[in-house]
Amino acid sequence: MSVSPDVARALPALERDGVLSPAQAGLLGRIARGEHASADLLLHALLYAGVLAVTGGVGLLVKDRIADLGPLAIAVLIGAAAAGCLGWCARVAPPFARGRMVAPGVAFDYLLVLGALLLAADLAWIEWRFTPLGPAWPWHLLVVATIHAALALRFDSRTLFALALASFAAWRGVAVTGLEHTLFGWAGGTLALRLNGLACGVLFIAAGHLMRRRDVKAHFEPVAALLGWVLVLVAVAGGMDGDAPAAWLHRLALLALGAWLGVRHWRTEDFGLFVLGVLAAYVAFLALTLPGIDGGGLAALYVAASAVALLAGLLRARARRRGAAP
Amino acid sequence: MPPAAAAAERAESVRAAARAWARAGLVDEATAAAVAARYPDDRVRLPRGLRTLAFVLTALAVLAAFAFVLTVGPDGGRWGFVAAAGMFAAVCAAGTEWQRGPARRADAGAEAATALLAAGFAGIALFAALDRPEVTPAMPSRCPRAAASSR
Repeated sequence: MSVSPDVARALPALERDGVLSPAQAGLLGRIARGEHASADLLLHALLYAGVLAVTGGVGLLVKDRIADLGPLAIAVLIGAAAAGCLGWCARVAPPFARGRMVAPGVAFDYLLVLGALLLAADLAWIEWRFTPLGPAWPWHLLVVATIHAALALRFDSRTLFALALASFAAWRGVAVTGLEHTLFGWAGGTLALRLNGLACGVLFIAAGHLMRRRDVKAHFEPVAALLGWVLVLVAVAGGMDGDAPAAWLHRLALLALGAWLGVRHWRTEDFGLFVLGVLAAYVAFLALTLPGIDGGGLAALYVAASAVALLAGLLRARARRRGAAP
Repeated sequence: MPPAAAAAERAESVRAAARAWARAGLVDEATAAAVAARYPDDRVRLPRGLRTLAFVLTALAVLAAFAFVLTVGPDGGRWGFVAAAGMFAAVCAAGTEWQRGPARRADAGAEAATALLAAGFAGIALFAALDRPEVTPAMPSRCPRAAASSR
């Protein structure tokens, strides 16, 4: 809610017509004229800036004070700060619930994310300075992903859940260069990376589906599905380069997957997956058809015409669907 | 801005305020709906997903059309480029006005894309028109003072 002369002008008529009571119109008029301001946005901005400042400050502390404090003291300091944040969250949080939880205060989510980020930074610092995992250091990303996922489920944080999934995908991405021979000894680096991305994507989509079916944090499902589909589509798109038959198969696969995703989410017009599906299918369509067009000018005209045709088709289909709706 | 479009924006701000009042618990849902009914929406609006696609596809189509004009058009040099960018700025601006006026579109993605591109093309045309070509020793005849100093 903010200052709005249009709303201030509309309020007397709404009060006169009995839509708003005089008390409501008076309060809303003061808000619309800017006499009452909400501190909500400012508080969120300050908390967000505070999280950024503290995490940035930790980076500077590690960089500049390492000689004065020593690595162990830095690890203990960051760990204590993380424990402080997470301990406060554990003390004030309501008991675990399978569904949504109401946060106990405006600062709760920010302190939770700050604590989780500090904990991840502490683990990374310990791994870098003391190398407890040695050459298997990428596994610490899996530890971070597991901790973030546990915190996300306990404290009902979609932000932390997204961070957990990203850390998990990062673990596979980083590990694939060092550990690829363990899992994909037969494959080259790029293929191994794509296969890992594909596997992560399928795992995330399946996990989200399971959470929804079992009604355990079902509202996390869109996060898992979106990140999972991004990984799947990027993994498939990564194989489109070149003129080999495999490249054409990847283009066809991307077209089919994108079209299926777009059609599946057409009814809901879901922002993430619908847009992702349509754009993936369109990119695959261009990759399939553009090589057959000679000349840069003709190709540009083709892209322009196909984009207009796709948009017109989507709008016409929507109009038809709305016309057919009861 | 056409008066009808301005009135539609005023009505939308009242409806948006009513939604915010209901979210904050200052009025109930029925009251918010009654406010919205008194300020009806006469615009074509798209949901977020389609709006995003409309924005991306419109921008892509216009930029591809610009690339087509530059590729197949006569090589007019710097002033040819300025003319093409200026023409696209005018067409995008006219397209935006048409969408917001007679076509009664708002929050539909395409009009935002053409508005942004109109500003972008105008900026590019202005920059290209005002940008002075670098004087090099290879072009002394067009700039006698520079030619004299380079000797």
